[in-house]
Parts: sequence; structure tokens; C-alpha cells
Amino acid sequence: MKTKATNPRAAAVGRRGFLKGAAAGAAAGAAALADRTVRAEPASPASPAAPPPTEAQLARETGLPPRSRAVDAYIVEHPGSDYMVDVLRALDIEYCASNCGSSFEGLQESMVNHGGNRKPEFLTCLHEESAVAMAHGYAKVAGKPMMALLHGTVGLQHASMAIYNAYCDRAPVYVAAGLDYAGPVPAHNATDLAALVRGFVKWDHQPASLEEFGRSAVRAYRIATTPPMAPVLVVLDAALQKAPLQNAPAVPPISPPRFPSADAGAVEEIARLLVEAENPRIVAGLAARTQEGIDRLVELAELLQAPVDGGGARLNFPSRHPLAGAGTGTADVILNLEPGGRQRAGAGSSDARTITISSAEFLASSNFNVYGSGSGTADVLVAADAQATLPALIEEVRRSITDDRRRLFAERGAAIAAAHAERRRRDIRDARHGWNASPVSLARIAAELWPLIKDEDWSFSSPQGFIGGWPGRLWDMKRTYHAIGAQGGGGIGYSLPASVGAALANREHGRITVNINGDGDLNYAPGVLWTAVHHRIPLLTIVHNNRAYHQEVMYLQQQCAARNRGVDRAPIGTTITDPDIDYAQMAKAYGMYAEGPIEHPADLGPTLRRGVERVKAGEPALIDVVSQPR
Amino acid sequence: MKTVFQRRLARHHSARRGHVTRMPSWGPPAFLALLLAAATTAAATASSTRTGQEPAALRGDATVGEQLYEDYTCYGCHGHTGETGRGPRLNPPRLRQGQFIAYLRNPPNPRRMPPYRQADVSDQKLADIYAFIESLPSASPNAEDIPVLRGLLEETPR
Repeated sequence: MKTKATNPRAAAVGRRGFLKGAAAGAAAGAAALADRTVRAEPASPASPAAPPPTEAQLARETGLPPRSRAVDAYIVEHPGSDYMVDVLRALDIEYCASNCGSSFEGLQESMVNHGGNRKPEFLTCLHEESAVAMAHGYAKVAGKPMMALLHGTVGLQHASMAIYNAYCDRAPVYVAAGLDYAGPVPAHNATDLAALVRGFVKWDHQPASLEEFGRSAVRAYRIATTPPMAPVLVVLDAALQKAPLQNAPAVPPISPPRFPSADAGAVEEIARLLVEAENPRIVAGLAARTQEGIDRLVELAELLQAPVDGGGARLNFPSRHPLAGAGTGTADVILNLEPGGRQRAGAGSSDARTITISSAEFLASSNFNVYGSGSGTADVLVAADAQATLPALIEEVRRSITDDRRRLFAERGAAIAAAHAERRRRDIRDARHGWNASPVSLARIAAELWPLIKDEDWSFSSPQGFIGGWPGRLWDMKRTYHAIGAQGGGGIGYSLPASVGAALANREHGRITVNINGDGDLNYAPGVLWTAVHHRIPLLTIVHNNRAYHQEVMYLQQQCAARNRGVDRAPIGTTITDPDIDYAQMAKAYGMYAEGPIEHPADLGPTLRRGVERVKAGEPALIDVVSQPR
Repeated sequence: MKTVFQRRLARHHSARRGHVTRMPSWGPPAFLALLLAAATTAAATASSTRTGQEPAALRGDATVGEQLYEDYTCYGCHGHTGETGRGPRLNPPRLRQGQFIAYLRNPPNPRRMPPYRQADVSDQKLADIYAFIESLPSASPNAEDIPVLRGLLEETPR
């Protein structure tokens, strides 16, 4: 069936005109969402301009025979997936990470032709787990979702671990999965496709019409970007993608999410507890969604002169702020802000009062106890977004502080600042241990990197748990993108693809992205190295090559000892040797600049410098460093 | 057959032995390490007291000990040169050989440092490991002598 012909140029201009307005108000990032509603116009308004010639007119004018009915039936010049692209563009989704599959070939064609491969731009991934993990890392830097497009049962299952990580890490990922009941492989279909991951997406839907797709797509975006942020899934029936678009539905209104904050009574109670406390402590896990969150937390801490343990699941507080750290003595009141990831809610002495503000209360799942039971045992538990609550809390605290308390706070703050400075000096001095050792120490890797990036705009994209936390201990971290945290669910295979996604978000700011990547993690799906090269994504990857799943070496050794046997067998099944993997060669095979293995510490500095220069020039680079286990 | 780390370590040691001397003063260790060292010494002393005396000093073979240090994954928590990792630093040793052996038989916190019984790891093997640790030169200059760390210290308020 052939659809009614329109002037594509005029229609495109009309769409652009609409999209310009919609995109401006829709979502220039979840963090930057303005508090207003955008009324959308029809996605593809009919043009008043002269239509192109019909087939019959062309046949008369050219003398060529008209198209046969079979050809007529085959051609669909304006498919439903064009409308899908229009909606995605209105949502300001800039990228679509995907490993291609026939169940979404209709949408993919619309992206590259109808959409001109721009907003969203199709990112070629070599594994679905990489696609979702890229979107995970991207979201934590860009503050808005990227689309990850997956193929039926197989793609969704490949991606499921990365979806789970993003769910645990409260990262908004816009997942879509193609479903083609008429496709060539029945095993790629399911009666209820979303059931595969329903336990760890915040919402899913399988629209039955294009109108419904528009509403679902907008709703999914909104749900993903409303705290607690999390992945969502829209299932895209191939028939919907391929059916002719008769009359394009209007793109539904896109109203930015509002963030739930604590009520006035709760704010007053928390402020009173904090101001009256002798030694309060603030523990932040996933509190700072944006730079505004870090700034407000600084404001609260300085008002109270209270310490902030702010490097939990991502950076919440400047690492070199005098109030950064656990403070001094035993806390009598602990304020937990969005405990998350692998961080447990802070605990003081047994009689310490605990306060928790957490949006995770809205994400309670019947199957997964992602956030542990820590928040449930708080003396004061408020289901709200911590960052959204901070302004009111700051004002209430400011109002409640008397001159007497202010003097006490000043004394407290001086002691905390002294402890902070002492800890920093101790950390730096500890970095000397094994400085000249081979394999290379992890402290040395972090320390040698610092002078190379400190005067640049830089971003650290990988977890710090396996590398002794050295970047956070040595570097001056104060922006959200200076430390974007870890996997969330602890699923390995995250660092490399998430770093590629983070680096993509950093690219437009000319920011250097640094990733210290475990060798075990890197081997899960190294094909994303190629994606970084192919899409010109500047990223410095330093392989923390301890030739093992080292955590497991230690665990297995413990088990051997606990059973009084086989004390020399812990490397079996836990180490990655014989043969050693040459990661520089691996990266080169994917077309990436690479050096290594670096075994001698004296070679490290010059090699890192060359890597940073490559990244500053706009390309990815990998340096393989044979390193101490921890 | 030696592992790659062992071969590398051997090269490393042969390159440094004879011209790298242990630092005359060990810098102030981390608070945690101090605690662990204190606990370690106390535990070893207590253990020795229970058994009446420290085990007699054995003649350890550092080369054998190097192999055992790798085979028993001591490097896992203490690093390949006994100076890094999650566990306490072993290089330079803060315990005498007898205390070291007594400590490994009855570590105060088995969930952190597991115990090893005589049937699995003999006193002689522990003496060999101890000899290896003793033979290790320091790879840890003072922070003030490392330009990068000196720069970081200068960025830190006094």
C-alpha cells in the first residue's frame, strides 16, 4: 500500500520547527528539566506546498510503465517507525546504543534515513550488555538517558546484567526491545517479552498502536528520570514499526518530572535533630544527582560544621573540602542521604539517632533487596529525593541555629578540618609504599596520572573499590563527573562500556575521561573498544592488569585455609595466566592506540603522558599496566 | 614452572639486589597498620606464652620462600613485595621469625588472616617465606623524595 505523497522537504522543515521547540522544553537533560509543560504539535504536519508527482504522472511524463501492484504493496514510504524517531527526537534522546537485530530493522532504517542518523545517532555496539552499560555510564555524566535498543529475547537477555546494574545504581536508561512475531526465528519472540527483566526495570510497556507508542514513550522517559531514577523498557512490535503511517499522531505533551521532596514537618524534625546534635555526621550515597546537589550539600555541611562521608556510590561532596570524611569521634546523629549501591547506611554508636532520606523507598521490589535493610531501621525515615529536600532543610537549619550553637559548630569544624588534613597527608604518604616495585603499585598509577590531568577538565569513570580508592584519596574531586561511581549491582563487565558511554557524554565538553579498568572486567565484552574507536570517543583506559579475578583469589584462599587443605590451590579458576593476555595487542586489533604491558614503574609516567596526549587529541587509548593485586 | 609474576619478580630482585638498600627509617605507617602490628605482636607474644616459648629459629631459604609466597598467594593481601595490598605490610618484617610462625598458627582474626596448620605448611616452609620477606629490599622511598607525592603534599594544608 502506498501512502499519500507529501513534500518531504516541507514536512521535514515542519518537524524541525516543532522539534526545536519541543526539545528546548522537553529534556535538555533530566537534571536541567524546566518546570513547564510543552504542548506538542502533530509530528508530521501536511505541507501546503505542491506535492511531488504521483506514480501515474511520472509514468505519463517519462513514458515508463507504472509500478506493479506487487511493488506497490512492497513499498512503504512513510512507515510508523518514522513517527517513533520523531518522538525520540522530541525527547532529546541523542544516542541509541545497539547491536543490530531484525526485530527493529524498521526503526533502525527510520533512524538512519528519516532521522538522518542524528538525535538519536545509532551507536554500533558489539554486545547488548555493552550497549546498556554505555547508556548507564552516559546517564551518570549527561544527566539524561540514552536509548539502548535490543533484539527480542536474545538481545534482552544479553543485556539483562547491565540493566540490573543500572537499576541498582538508580541510573535512567531508556531501553527498547524489538519484537517480531513474523520474524524468521520464533525463539527470538515471547508472549511477554518484558517479563525477562520486569523485576529490575521501573516500568515497561508494549504499545499496541502508534498513538499508544507516543504516550508510552513519553511516560517511560518521565518515569526513568523521576527519582528514584531507573531503567525503563518499551517493547516495539515490528508490525508497528513497518505499518504505513497514515496520519501521524501528535507527539504527546512532554512535561518534565518533579522531584519528590520531604514535607515541612519532616524537614523541621530533621533540622532540629541536626542542630541539637553534639557530633552529627552526614553520609551520602547517591544524593547528588547534579552539581547543584554537591553545592547544596556543601552548604548544609558548612552551616552545621558537620563531616560528610560523600564518596559513597558516586561523588557527593568535594574530596578536599575540610569537612570531607568521617570527622572525629563517635557520631550521635547520622543523616543518611540516598544510601545506595554497595554502600550501607552509616552507623554510629548503638545509641546514635539515624535519619535517612531516600527515594529508594519508592523503588521497593518484591524480589530484590537492592538497598539492603539499612534505611528501614532508621529512627527517622523519609521517602523523598534527598537533593530536592536539601534547600528546605538548609533554610530550616539556618533558621534554627542560635549563636551558642554557632560557636560550638565553629570549634567542631576546626577539629574536623584538622583531622581531614591529617588523613590526606597520611594517604599521600601511604602512596609511597611499593612505589618502585614491579608489578606497579596502584597508588603510583593514580599519583602519576594526577599531574597529567589536574589542569585539564577531566572525568574519572570507573569504580574505585578494586584499586584501593587511590584516585579519591589523592585527587581533587569536586564535580559530579569527577567520580561517577561503580556498577550498582556489582556485576562485572561494567567499567569499560560504562566508561565509553561516560566519555561520549564528556566529549562535547572537551573533557578527558580516565578509566582504570580491571583485567577481569575488561574481558567480559572487549568489543566496546572497537565502538570507542569507530565513534571517535576519547577515553584513556589503563588496564589494572593483576592477571586475576583477584577478589576471588583472596576469597578462595580463605576457604582453603578454613578447611585446612589445599593452601596452594587458590589460583585455580581465579587467575588469568598461562597464557597471559596482551591487552595492548587486543586494543590494537580493535584499531585503538595502545601501549604495554608496562612492567617497570619507571616506564609508567612517560607512557601515561603519551596516552593522555592521544586522548586530548580526540582518540581513545589503552595502556596495559601489570600491577599489584590491590 | 614459575609464574609470570615470579619470573618478573626474580628479574626485579636481581636488578635491585646489591644496590638498593632498605630505607634506614620506616615512615609512619597508617593508623590501621599500627593497630594491626600491635595486635600482631600481642597475639604472637600471647601464643608464645601459651606454648611456653617461641619455636626455635630455623634456617630459611629465601629462594624457596619466594616460590611459596606466590604458591600460597601471600601476595594476594600483602602485594608481590610485601608493601601493598589490603593486608598489613610485611616488608620490612616487624616480627621475629618465631613470632611470625606463631602468628600464622593462631592469627587473632582468622577471617582476615587465615590460620595455617603444621600439616599443610610446615615450620620450615614458614621459615623459608620469612627468609624471603627478610630478603626483600624496600621499594618505598620517602614521600618527600618522590616529586609527584611531594607535589601532592604541597597541595595539602598544614
